[in-house]
Amino acid sequence: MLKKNIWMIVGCLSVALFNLSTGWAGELKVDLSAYDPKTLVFVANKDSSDVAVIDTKSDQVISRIALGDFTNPHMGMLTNDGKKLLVTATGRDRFLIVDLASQKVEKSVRIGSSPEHFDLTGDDRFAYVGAIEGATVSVIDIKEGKEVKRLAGFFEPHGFSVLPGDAKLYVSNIGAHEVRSIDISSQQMVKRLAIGDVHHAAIREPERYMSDLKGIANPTPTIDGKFIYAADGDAGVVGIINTQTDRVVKTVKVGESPWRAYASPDGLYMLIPNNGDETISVMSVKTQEVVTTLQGGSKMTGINFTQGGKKAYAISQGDSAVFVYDMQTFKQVNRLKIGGNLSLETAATTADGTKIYVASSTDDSVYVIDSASDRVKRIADVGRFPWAVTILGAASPNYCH
Amino acid sequence: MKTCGESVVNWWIGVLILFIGIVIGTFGADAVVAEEREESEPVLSERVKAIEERLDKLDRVDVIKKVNEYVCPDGELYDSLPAGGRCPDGSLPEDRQTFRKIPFSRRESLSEKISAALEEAESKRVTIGGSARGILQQPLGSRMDEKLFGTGSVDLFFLSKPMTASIFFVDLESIGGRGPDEVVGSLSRLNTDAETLGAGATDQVKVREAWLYMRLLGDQVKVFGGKVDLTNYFDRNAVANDETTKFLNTALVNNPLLKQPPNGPGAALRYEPGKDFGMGVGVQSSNNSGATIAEKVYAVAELDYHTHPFSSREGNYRLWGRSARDGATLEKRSWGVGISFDQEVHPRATAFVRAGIGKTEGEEKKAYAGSVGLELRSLFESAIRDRIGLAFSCQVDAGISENLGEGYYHHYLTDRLAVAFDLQWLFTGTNEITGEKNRNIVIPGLRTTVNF
Repeated sequence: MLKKNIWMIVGCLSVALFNLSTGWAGELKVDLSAYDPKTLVFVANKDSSDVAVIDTKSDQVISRIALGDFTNPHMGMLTNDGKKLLVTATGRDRFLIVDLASQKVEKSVRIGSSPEHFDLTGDDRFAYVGAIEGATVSVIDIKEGKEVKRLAGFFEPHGFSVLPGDAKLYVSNIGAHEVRSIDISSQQMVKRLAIGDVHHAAIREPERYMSDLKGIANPTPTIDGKFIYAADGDAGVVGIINTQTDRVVKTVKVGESPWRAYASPDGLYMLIPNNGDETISVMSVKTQEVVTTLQGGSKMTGINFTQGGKKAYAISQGDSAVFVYDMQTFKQVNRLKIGGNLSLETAATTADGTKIYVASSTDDSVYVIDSASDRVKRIADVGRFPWAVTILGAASPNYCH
Repeated sequence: MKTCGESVVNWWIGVLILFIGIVIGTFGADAVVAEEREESEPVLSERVKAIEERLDKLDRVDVIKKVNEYVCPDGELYDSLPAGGRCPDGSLPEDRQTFRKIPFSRRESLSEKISAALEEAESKRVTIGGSARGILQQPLGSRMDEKLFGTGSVDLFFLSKPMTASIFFVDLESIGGRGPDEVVGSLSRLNTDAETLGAGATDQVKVREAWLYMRLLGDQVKVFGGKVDLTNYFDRNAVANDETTKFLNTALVNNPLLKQPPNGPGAALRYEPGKDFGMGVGVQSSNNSGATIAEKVYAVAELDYHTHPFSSREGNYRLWGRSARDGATLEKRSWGVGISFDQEVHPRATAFVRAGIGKTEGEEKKAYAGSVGLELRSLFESAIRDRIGLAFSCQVDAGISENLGEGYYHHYLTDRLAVAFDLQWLFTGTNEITGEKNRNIVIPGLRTTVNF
């Protein structure tokens, strides 16, 4: 009798186990402390309000960190010790400090309206967070998990760069044509520096400049921290600031509507994508001049370097493609068509400089480019609307847009 | 073959086992559902809070405004005229327009549009600024009548823009008091402010400067015309060119061999193509009477070179030459050549050198002048704007020689109020009043400046 009923018994046990399993279903999570944080990719997903963690060895999503409803994260960054993940929660006007061991938000700091970008001092002590709509910059004490100061009077503070040595912070305003330097020891603004001379063109076309304003997206430091390159979108110039004297020492004409400068990790060049004429200006850091102009793509959102700066990858959102350049011959060596009608966002280069991870918001994916072969692999279902990618110790400076 | 009874039993056993399985599974699912129900209320509450926070953002708009800004040659910008009407290095800021995106609530943006129309009219009016200074000095020396000397002055600046790319500037000055040269009679002159009074005067109200400034050829050419002070444009120096904030001694404000006439009718033209070189020429009436504008004028020309020779630190190198007439008779001619260098040697230190040689018609010997010094900045964390200046000057003119040292500490009490402690040491010289020698005369001083 038992033999005859064996299948019935198995079937019943299966029913029981299924009911149990659906009730006890949990989130995808592994213990991140088992991983070297430099081998992990953190992807901020705007619409699913979480951060996906990808293992670069397997190219799999190994964990998701929930940030809370409606947080709509914009940018993430790891502390230099690899223990915390810092995230701007644009939707909730918060700055989140996530403990990576527990993968939970341990501090949620209320700051200005619509925070987006930020930077962190090298000693992991302070984060400087810009509130785009609030027009403020919040100084966050990471250890205490609270806002210690709020600087006001900015015009859409968009780009942040802490100099090596943590002496100064530079903040660029995308709603104006100026960069500000902040002294970190006193947490006070030292100088406001005007970039470009847009009023000349504005005299002839006032309507254009009163309807849209493209200011300065980012103050990009040279690798040695001696100069800041600030591209002004309306003026079509790059202003070079001496960080020791806080003076604009040179203004160089580049292409139309430059976005921002990206520093090659070998310290030799600054690449500036010009979205007005779809070119890329290559500036020599030594001579502070444009040495060549490359043909780029439409709506470039970022440039990543691999192999120590020998190759450059320009992310073209408009073309859903990545343009690849040899930085020794300054020639385009490849055009990687990632897909159709994709919105490529930001990218990050692994610490060993061999792979690039590109977020694609419209198909909820991250694309992995192997720098040696230029082969592209897709990691699907990363989260809803992946926006920003960050890797600790990335071989090419991390960025956001 | 199964009997009917066995089949029924088996069926009931199967049903029983299935029932037990469903019950176990349901209890487990119920436990999860109950847990979810316990969580859902705080979650809903949090969601409502998040939505309420977002309501405020729906009311926000961004408006692009055209605003005025004042930009110094090094790129530093101000929303209004900097203190004293000049940039920290003594140069004039450029008044220009720019655009900024400013967030408003919808209600504010409507009122902004109304006030923008009023602002347009306002921008065509005159901008007023000013500064007030008080200087106390006391010469100390074995033969000195150790009186305390004081001068006070108030400057009112008026700025307007009569047309695009132009500025009309007027500086009204009221000054009174006496400087220590009344008893010391130094060659180099111990209080530059007091020197503007002229011999014998103790109080004066005057138009110190009044000129029109125009930018031409894409800002490459700058023209100044009116009642001018040519030292604003020639023999400049980043650390030794401003008696209101730096050295007090006239030999450390400008090269004594520049021998510029008192402010008067004149014009200056500067050509700055935007790269490292610049040049300028200037002419001015040899006295301020206005009667000799076109003849027997004072003329000066200068070549400038701006560079970053040492670890990208900024340096300015100027070479000038001038031709002049003596102000009293307009007969004796004189000429002079000089250099003015300033070079940043450290993020917090700039060194300077001035030197010159000149000759006056009828005098056998040439005149020489030289000065060297250092400015130190941000030495104290609590006072990063404060400055210390140290300099030495030597001068030989018409057979008289003089050596002098000066040091000052300029301290900012607030953004608009500063006090400076000054010490001049006249090592050797000749007292032009008594004819006796000046030796080791120490002149401590205190200068207070208020900007508004």
